[in-house]
Amino acid sequence: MASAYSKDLLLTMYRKMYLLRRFEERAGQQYTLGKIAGFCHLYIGQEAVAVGCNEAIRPDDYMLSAYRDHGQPLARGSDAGMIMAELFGRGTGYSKGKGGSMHIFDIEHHFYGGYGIVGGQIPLAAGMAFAARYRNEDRVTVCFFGDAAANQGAFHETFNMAQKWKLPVIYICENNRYGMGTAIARTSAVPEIHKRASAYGMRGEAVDGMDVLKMYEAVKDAAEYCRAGKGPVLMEANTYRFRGHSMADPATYRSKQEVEDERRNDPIPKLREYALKQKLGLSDADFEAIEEEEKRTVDAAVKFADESPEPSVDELWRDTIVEPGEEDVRPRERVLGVKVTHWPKYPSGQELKVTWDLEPRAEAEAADKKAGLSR
Amino acid sequence: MPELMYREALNQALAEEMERDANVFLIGEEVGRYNGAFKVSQGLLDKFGSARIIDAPISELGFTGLSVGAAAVGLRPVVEMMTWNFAILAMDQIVNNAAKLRHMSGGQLRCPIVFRGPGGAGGRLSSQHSQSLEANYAHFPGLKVIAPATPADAKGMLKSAIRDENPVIMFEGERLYALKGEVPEGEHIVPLGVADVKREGTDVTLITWSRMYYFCMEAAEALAKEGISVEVLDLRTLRPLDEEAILKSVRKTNRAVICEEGWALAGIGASVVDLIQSQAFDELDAPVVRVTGLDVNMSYAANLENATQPDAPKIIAAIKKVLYREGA
Amino acid sequence: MATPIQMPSLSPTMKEGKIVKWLKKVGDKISSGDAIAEVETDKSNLEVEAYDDGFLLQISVPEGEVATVGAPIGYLGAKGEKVSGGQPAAAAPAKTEAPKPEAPKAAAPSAPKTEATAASGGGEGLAILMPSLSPTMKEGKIIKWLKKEGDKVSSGDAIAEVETDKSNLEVEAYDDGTLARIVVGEGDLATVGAPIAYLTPKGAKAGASAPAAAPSAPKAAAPQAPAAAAPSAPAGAQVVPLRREAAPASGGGGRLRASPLAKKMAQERGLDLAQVRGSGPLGRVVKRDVEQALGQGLAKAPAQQAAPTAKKAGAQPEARAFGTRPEPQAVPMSSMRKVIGQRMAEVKPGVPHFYLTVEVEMEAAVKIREEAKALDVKVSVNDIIVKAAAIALRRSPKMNVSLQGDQVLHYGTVDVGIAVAIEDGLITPVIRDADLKGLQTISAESRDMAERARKRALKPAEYTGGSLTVSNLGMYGIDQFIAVINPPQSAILAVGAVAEKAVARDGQVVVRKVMTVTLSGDHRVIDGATGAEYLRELKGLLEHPTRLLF
Repeated sequence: MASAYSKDLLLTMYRKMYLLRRFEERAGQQYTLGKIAGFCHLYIGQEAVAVGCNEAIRPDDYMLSAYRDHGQPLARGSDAGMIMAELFGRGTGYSKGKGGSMHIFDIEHHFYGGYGIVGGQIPLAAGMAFAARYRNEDRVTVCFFGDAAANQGAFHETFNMAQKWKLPVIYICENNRYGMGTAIARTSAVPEIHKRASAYGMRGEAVDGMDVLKMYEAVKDAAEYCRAGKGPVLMEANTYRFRGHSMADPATYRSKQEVEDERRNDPIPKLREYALKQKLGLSDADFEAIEEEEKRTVDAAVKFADESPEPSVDELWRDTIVEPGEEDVRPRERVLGVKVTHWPKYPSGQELKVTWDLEPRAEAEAADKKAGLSR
Repeated sequence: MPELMYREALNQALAEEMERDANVFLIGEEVGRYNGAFKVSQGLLDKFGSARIIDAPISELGFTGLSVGAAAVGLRPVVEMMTWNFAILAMDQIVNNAAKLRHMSGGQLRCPIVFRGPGGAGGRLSSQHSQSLEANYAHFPGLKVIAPATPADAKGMLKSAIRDENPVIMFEGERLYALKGEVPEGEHIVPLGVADVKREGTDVTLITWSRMYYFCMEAAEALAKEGISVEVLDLRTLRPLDEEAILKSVRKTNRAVICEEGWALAGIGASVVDLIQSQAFDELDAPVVRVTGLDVNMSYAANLENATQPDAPKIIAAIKKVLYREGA
Repeated sequence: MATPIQMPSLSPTMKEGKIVKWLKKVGDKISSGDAIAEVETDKSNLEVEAYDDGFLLQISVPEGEVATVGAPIGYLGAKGEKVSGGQPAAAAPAKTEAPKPEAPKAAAPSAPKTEATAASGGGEGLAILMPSLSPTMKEGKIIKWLKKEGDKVSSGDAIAEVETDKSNLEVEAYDDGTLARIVVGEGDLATVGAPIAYLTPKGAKAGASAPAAAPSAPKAAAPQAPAAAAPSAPAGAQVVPLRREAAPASGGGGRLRASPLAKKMAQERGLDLAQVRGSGPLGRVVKRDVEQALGQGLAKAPAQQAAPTAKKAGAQPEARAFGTRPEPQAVPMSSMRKVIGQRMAEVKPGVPHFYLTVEVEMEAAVKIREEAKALDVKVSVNDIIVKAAAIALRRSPKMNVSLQGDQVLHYGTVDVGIAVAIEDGLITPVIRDADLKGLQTISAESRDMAERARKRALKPAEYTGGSLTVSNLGMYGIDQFIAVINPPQSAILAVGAVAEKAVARDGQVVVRKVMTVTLSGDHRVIDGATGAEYLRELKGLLEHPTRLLF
């Protein structure tokens, strides 16, 4: 049987998942060696979610995340060394070492950041989708958040608006079953997060987040739905983190057996087995070669970070207020000296023609009338 | 020059800026079909349509965060807070996202957005609806905070705020909206960060902003009859402070009184006093005195409410105190 | 190649961990991500994870033992691979040298522990601590004990020889007593501040362990105390005594009350505030009182009256005789002065200076000037010094640098600054390519620039750049001084007067024209030896100026 997926796609997904895994393993190691400090939330186990999603959307679609945010930009194609440097607190990091592990931003690759307040990025994503709709772009926004964020007010307030205004945004709840050390069922009246979409008449669905191909299919479909102007989607990706909440978490709240069981469900070998079964002429050697390459990439990233200087103290006084005429910083241009060509560009206030009628008058009047109100 | 109400001046600024720049939109509770809880957005829905004048659900955190996200990708939102008391619900989005996007992204993102609405006591509304919260926001790097007192400044500063590349917090006043003043037509821009000597004087500098400005002018006029010359300095922008203007005036008069509607502890006036004592100690002929709201929650009863707030007699007493003319 | 498995830091506060259990044994195959050992930290028990694939070659820290963060606890490598000779040895000290990587912190908790033992063991008295014998020293190795247990020790006695990161030095006792116990044996390391032995104080028997820390603290602080105290005295004297006298009008006999502005005005106009009636609260003298007093003509007269008050302060007793006021003049800082102040305040704590001084015989150099004079050419000694400083710079490229941000600029040209004193400040115009210019040109240029500096007519480009400045206070009769580097330059030469001095030459006392030069160097970019070489070159050039021709 011919494969439903191209060899190229399968290998790209494998490469990216392996890169994410290896990057996080090394990040964990560097944390234990004191090179990385503060909070450091690893993505190990959840790779299929970011990678499956990224391959299903366009490079110019917006993406943003919570503070477990190393995986998504890597999947988008950000420079591994500059992310590692950010984790190390070095001047060559994406945010010059000002943000650290929780705040990776790579605007060139349309990754709009990692946010440290639980659920704080959820309304932001709606706003980015709003902007796309306002400008008549067919761009979607993908917003990742953890299961525990679903209990924040921001989640509910935003879903109400997103659905009411049919904003093109895909909310991917990465349900790894624990909000830090608390099992989601312990604090949630409805622990199946995707069901909450129904309260807003919004499309909601659960996906196996340990299967990159299922993630890919689900997000592809959701993106088409959004681009067609049908409104937002809430997707619950059931996944599992093999590591604690952060590096300082021994994860004593869950059994070893549980972790062992989940590890057997590792999305990376799963994809490899799948690909080998397809008639694509792939062998173990192909995957091992990829692994070796990505290991080298990550080793080089660590070396780059380690050899990079700390930010200049002058940086303290930059990036708080935008001074008149000040340009935005393009990290790869600043650090690597490469010419960044596809930086977001927005139409000027004179070029832009807003044609969207967010609430047609007839609709509003009908609602008023129904409520017994006449103006 | 035409005389306009404060709310009309704001309306004019909004209309002009939205005309000039299609990236500007207004979002808030009751801003559209209702024409604004305080009629600031009167007529704008008809003019600009429902995508640019947006009636938001009562979700302060939600629509504030949505607007911050829109600003991060190039739009220029104006977020109307029905009052700043309600915006406390949105503070996370303002403080943790709007004020920090530039920083967290290492200069990749900017957040050109205006949050505006009335602050201060509205009149017989009790404690939850009668707070002057500007000091809270002035505390945060990454924000600009403005509080114009006159219709002309309201127009000129809102236009500047919309054109600014940073998040700007604008405190209007429930009791200011109906006040009238001369407002220049068309392109009238008042730069942010610049204080204004609204009345020149030689004996004492009276520093204030927003609604208290009117009590200060009243006090200054009354004192002029007693031969006391009061210089009234309207700060207009609370972050960044116009330190130069404050020091210039204090160096001239050698005495200062600061009047603010909010509470004394950790108030803006405290920072102004700090500036004066550290930079102009040798120019002082008397300790600086503050007139502030009393350190209590606002009551509903009229007499209690009046007693809680600064007014002209309290300001006059403070000025006499720094001039050592008590009982004079 | 075998790679070490390091004890990880598993919490922000973790310094060491105890191996509770090895989950793999030597020879086991290991994949990245496998848990290989269980470790007890200061917070909880956690698993150590492998970050590479391979086989467990060796366990260096057995179960129940402690290793510091970063120390190898085992080795990973290819099947059957041998861990090379040095590695097991490196693993072993992880245990004994536990505090090493965290030297300063580890020392603190260990001290009370030892003291506790000391107390329970009958009171071992004063701890002798490993001293810090160099600015960079973190730990020291006892090479030899010069006293043994039971020996009497007097303050100042050398008791042990210690090897530091720089050299071997002696540890001195600071108390009298008997060496009770040696806790760090010969050949062993101790971190700075850790006890290396205990002394039973003279006359004391037991229980004296508590004060151990106390005497050592003031000792360490002692050398700094007088320095700190010194400047405060004159400063205080300046202001305070001014108005101790009764404030007749203001009553109360306590301190005179006056607003800061009134004090300033009085000082400027020479008015004795004690003579002014205060109209403010509690008799505070305020601006209007000062103005009134001045208006009544109190200004001049009381100024004379005020003189006795000032005499009390001990300031300028004879000044009165000339009719000048004894009060010091408070003049607002000019903006230039402010900039200098700011810059110097920035520099002194910011740039780590080092200083090197050398005496130079100036007979030959002075002769050049005389020869020039005879030819009607104006050349000063300073011009010769500038020229020599430039040639020396050309020959010491390591000196010709400037630290800018985190980059060191190495100059290809030799530009030498000359410090010019001007009214209320100084400025340092730069002679470009001073190494290439003749003395006459240097002389003409420096005179021209000094002239224009005094008129404040220099362009910024004329006083920026270069790596070194010559600052000459010889004309003021200063023998020797230390100058502050003018950033971003990296050095400055402080040149004193050429004076006749009796010096010993070949066993004879002879009189020579001698000049003292002190080099201040920025230690971030220049080292002592570099500076010393430069000074040697400079000295040679000035003593044998014919070398300037080569």
